[in-house]
Amino acid sequence: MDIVLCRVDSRLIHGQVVTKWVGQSNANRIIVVSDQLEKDKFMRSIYLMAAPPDIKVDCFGKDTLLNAKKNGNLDTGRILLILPDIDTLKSIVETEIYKGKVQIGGLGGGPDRKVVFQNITLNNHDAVILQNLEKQGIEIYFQTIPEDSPKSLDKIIEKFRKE
Amino acid sequence: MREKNKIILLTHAGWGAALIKSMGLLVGRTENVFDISLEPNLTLEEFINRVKKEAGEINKNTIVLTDIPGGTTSNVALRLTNQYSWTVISGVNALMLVETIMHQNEDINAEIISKILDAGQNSQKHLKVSLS
Repeated sequence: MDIVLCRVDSRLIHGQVVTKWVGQSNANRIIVVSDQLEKDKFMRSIYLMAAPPDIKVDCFGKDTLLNAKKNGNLDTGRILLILPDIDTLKSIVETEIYKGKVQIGGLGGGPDRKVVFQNITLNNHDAVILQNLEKQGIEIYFQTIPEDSPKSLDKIIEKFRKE
Repeated sequence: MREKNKIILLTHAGWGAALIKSMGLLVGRTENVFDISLEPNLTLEEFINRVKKEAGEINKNTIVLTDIPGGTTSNVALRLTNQYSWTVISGVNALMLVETIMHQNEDINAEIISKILDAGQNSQKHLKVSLS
């Protein structure tokens, strides 16, 4: 299984991903992990269309992803794995689908969320999960576009806890 | 009198507004053409709500011109086709906008969409002087 980039981005496949990250990571396959999207044919076709023409795109719910790993379906291609939120990240780590480096690229706002870097917001729920994942040995960094220098989780949590 | 077709630009950080202003100088003036900006700090939900609020009345002659196919601007425009009967065209550039404005008094059909696309595409050339 060759996951060249695992990115958490609530906008899923969009401008930054399409123009920058596919090229930077040399991915030739995108897998979006979302139970909601797997069931929503209309929205799924929009995101499938959003990817560059020569990139294979799959949209798997969490269970489908686990099955795909078990039956070797994740063993083809250089995969850019896109997760919509921190809860999905927690789930794929817990089910041992992926334990490599994780890039937090975009997380939208909400009532209890605070901006920590560019268009990335956190709330306490997410911050706690991320810190636990780090304790388990998962390397987490924050980076929106390749031109930004990646920020470590420690720096981001420091910023989050301040104020 | 028939109202001019509504033309909505959806662009990252609102660069479409400047395009509309500039092309207004070219075509004389623009009417019922505006940009709805995707600011980087907006969540997907916030942008969808902004579009719904600022778009106003939509009909089948409304044309949405987006900047990047596959970008959030296009994804949202497509997503809203389950509620709005608008036409969505990506990759807006100066002459594509001008062409769309030129057809603002006509009902939109496949031929006009084709002309709009051609105008955009035909404006892209590698320019160099060749002395014959």
